[in-house]
Formats: sequence, C-alpha cells, structure tokens
Amino acid sequence: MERKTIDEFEVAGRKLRKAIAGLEKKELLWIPPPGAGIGRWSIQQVVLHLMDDELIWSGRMKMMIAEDNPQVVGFDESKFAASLCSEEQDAELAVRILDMNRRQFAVVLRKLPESGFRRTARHNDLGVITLGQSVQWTNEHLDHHILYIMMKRDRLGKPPKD
Amino acid sequence: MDRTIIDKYEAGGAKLQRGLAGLTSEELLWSPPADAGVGKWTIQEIAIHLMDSDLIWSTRMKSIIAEDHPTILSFDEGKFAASLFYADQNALAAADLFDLNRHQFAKVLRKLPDSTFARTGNHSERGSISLEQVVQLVVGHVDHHLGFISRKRDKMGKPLKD
Repeated sequence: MERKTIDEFEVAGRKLRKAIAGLEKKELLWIPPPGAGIGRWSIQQVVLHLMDDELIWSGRMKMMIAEDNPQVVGFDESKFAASLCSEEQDAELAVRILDMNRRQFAVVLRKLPESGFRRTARHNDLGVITLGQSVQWTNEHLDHHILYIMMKRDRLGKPPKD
Repeated sequence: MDRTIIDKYEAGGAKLQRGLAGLTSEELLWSPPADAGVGKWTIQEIAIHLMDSDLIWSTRMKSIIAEDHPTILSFDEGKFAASLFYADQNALAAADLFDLNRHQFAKVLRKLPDSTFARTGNHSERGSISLEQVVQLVVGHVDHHLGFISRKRDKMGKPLKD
C-alpha cells in the first residue's frame, strides 16, 4: 500500500472541518427536497454518518491487525441515521471525534510493516477484505460524502470559502 | 431506569483525564513489577485500552438502538494491547477522544425513552445484553481500571488528587 494513503487518512478530519465551516445550525439540519439529486440526508446527518462509520471501521481495522482473519459484521446506515437522534448531536463535535480518531490511528498504521496491510477480516456482506483496502475505502468514503456536502452547500447558496 | 447512570457515563472521560493528569511519559509507560499487585499494564496501556474498548462499545450501543437484536462480536483485549503499538500512541489524546465520544453519545442516550434501554444485542460471549446493562458495564469498566491507575500512581509516589 502506498504510504501517502496514510497521510490522506490522517488529514481527512481537516477536510471535513473545512467542508462544513461557516454553516449555521438550520443549514446543517436542512433536508434536501426529494428529487433534488443531492442526496436525502441533511449535512448534519452526513457528518454523523461519517463519524459513526469511522468508529466502526477503525474498530474493524484494529481487529484485523490484532486478530487472525476476524469476523466483522455490517451495520444498517439508514437505521442509524433514523434512530440515533441526529438533530440532538453536535456536528462540530463529530468532526473533532473523527479527526482525533484518525490522528490516533494513523500512529498505528505508520508503525505497521507493508505485510500488515495484507491482513484480512471476513465481512458478512463484503466477503474477505484487507486492511489496505479498508484504509483506502474509508478515504474514498469521506471524499464521496464531502462531494454531496458541496452540492448541498451550493443549493443553500453557501459555497465553501477557499 | 435510573437515568443518573447517563450522567455517570458522561463524566467517565473527565475521570480518566484526572487519572492521567500530572504524569510524565516515563510514568505513563512504567511497567509495574510482576509481584507489585497493581496490575501488569502500564497506565498508558490502560488509557488506550479504555479508548479502544469504549469506542467499540459505543458503536455496539448504536447497533442495539438502531437494529433488532444485532450480533455483537467480541474482541481480544490482550491481542489489542500486544499488537496496536500502545506505547507509541498518545495516552492524553486517547483520554480526550474517549471524553468527546462520551459527550456526543450521552446526547443520544438522554433523548431515548426508558423503553429503549431494554433493547438488546446478542453478544458472542456474554449472550443477550440490554442497552441499560451495557451503559452500566462501561461505567463500571472505567472505575475498575481507575482503581488500578490509582494503585500504580501510589506505588510511584504520584497519588491521584481529588
């Protein structure tokens, strides 16, 4: 695995912080109209989804490193978004949690030899996955959702500042 | 349900931060002699174990709330401590991340009706476990390890301050 993937993993929290900078609470909670083609979640729901997903994936990656080909189970992201009181949570706090978790876990990833990234887990939906793939996916997953945040911001008339 | 358990859950991060306060990195990494009766882990290992464990338990609680009797797979804490470069991670950052995650998840717990705390997951080793039991378990988990931190601190002449 290319080591710059770990650098990208580590800076993702900053990217997400920048993506939601300057938004007011009501903008974070704005639900796009159906058919707008910019996703169905509020920006706050996207951020909380990223935090939840982050903590689940980092738990799985720790298991892959520490245990031999462990079993891991998928989760229902729609049920999470619907059941976990997303309006009551704090989007800024979610970004801080994601950011701190990535910085802390990047220390572990940097210490691993190349062979460590070939370690695997058995995922009940995805089949056999490697640690290297997992790091790559979590990076791509964040970029995917940041794209939707940008589309929602455009629609709100609040494009991010450079 | 006694809802003061949620206050105790939220206060766990500050307890852990107090447990580490004022220690040098040398003290955080001090390995007690085998016969000292204060546990075998360093204080840093305890702090990072608590972070790893708490982040995983919070994702499990989310599954219990959002899904129906989800499968919860155990992890091997000894292998985590042996494989995840605990001596290279940052214990204070681990305590801060633990604290922020508890503050965020306490917002969810406070919004839930009592009936939700009777929801269950199916733990691979413990069997059926309710959300209320999990909250009690993780509150007790911090207190258990803080007892050991306190004894280690006494042994090195740096007692916990009230």
